[in-house]
Amino acid sequence: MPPEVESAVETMTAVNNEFFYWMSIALMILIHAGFLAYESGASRSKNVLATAIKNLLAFAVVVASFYFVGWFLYNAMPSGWFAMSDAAVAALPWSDNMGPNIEDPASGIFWGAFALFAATTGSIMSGAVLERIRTSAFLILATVLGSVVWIIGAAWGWHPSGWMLTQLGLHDVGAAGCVHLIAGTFTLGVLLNLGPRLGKYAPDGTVRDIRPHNLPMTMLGLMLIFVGFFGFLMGCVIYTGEGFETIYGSPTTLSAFAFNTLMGLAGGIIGAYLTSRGEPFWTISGGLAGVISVASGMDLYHPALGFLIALAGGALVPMIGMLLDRFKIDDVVGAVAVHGGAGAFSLIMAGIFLGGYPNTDGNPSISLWGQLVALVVFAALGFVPGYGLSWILKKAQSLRTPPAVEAAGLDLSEVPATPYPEGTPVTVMRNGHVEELKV
Amino acid sequence: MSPIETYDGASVVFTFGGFSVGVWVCFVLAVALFVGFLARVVQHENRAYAAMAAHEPVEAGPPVEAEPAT
Repeated sequence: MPPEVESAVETMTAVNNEFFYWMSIALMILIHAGFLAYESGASRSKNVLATAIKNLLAFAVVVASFYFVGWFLYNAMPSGWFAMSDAAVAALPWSDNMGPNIEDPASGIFWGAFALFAATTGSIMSGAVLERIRTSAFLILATVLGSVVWIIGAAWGWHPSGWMLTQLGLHDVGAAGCVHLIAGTFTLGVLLNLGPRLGKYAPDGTVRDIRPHNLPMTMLGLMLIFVGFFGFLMGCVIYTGEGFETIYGSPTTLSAFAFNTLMGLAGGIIGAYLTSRGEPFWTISGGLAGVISVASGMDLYHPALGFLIALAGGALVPMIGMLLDRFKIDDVVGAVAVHGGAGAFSLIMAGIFLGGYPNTDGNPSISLWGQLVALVVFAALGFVPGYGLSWILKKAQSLRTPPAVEAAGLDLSEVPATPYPEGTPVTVMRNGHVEELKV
Repeated sequence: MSPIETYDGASVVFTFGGFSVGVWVCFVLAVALFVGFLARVVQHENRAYAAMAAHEPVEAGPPVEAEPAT
């Protein structure tokens, strides 16, 4: 190839690479638009703006803190602990690569894609803790989850040199473990300390239905999340100029991801519809659970198998949600069930159906045992800091809003604006419920 | 603040250049402001909750249509 042609091809590859991840970032921002609509709709009318502000601030603090520390952790910890490799030094915020650099068209765009993964992970917790967590406590927890905890999991299990790949042969191309499972178990730890919303459970343990104030907005939010997931999954593959690779270096195609993402969506919606008996909130959440259920192995599943796995995963999450209610764990949007439950399910399914598939570069083959060990590590990596940090905040009386503020609504106390100035809709409660809220 | 005098052969073009005092100062300031922001949120919440307890909430409620906001 003549030198000038070779140079032109290299330039085009770099430009394509940047544009590919640029689009991934833009699409992933739709996940946050979706979370905002989803959670605002899921909250009662007295908490709408506080919920939306919480989502905006979560995006801001996680992106900034991910620049400060997150990208460095990803590049420094694949072996399990800190190692100041060349990649780690290049990821320090004051290095030559962590700012405009004409010779480096990769660092910023990869950092950006990972920053959006981080913001997504931090925001997964957001919906579960609605209507009673202090915004400040949530932002601290989101920062730790989005810029420290999950990215350590990603360094271990979602990195070409991560020890979970090199030691266990882990296969989790769509980040079901390091993003969804970690976020789900972190959230579970927080919910145990946070407690349920006032009036959610009667003294005898009966579950009271606290309805979303705008279910159509919630459903629209989830549709936006579905769109954003295509950006998320774009970021899960490596563009090489000659095609695509998974994060583990094995060859793949966007076609593979298209097959199983769409079949996963379809299967999850159908599965959740069946077990929730058509309940709209769980039905559409099932779509998300379906995609997560096939995420670990979506580069390799036959689409029909992907559909079956997603259908089972979607069917599972309403039942996990009901199980949490029995333990009086008030997860407003089902984040623990959808992300934690489907994330764990995804890792197991990849172990069952992909066991024996080879990995590249001499890494161990995929195995059920490797998937299960990774599952336990991811779950603990999320739960322990989530529970521990929220316990500290609780002891410092900084985790939860005062009962009087919660009863009146967070918008009225914290937000200098009103969501529905013409007064509709209002939060309607039965008389008995109101009596319990009097504090 | 420019680390370059010409674009010929340039690589790092961001202000101050990598591993420089200017970058470190900016980084420390950015982290300090980030932490300060979180502290300010706590302060805002404490004031808002106290105001709520005193029946003087931050948001007094919607004005009547066409009435100027106070």
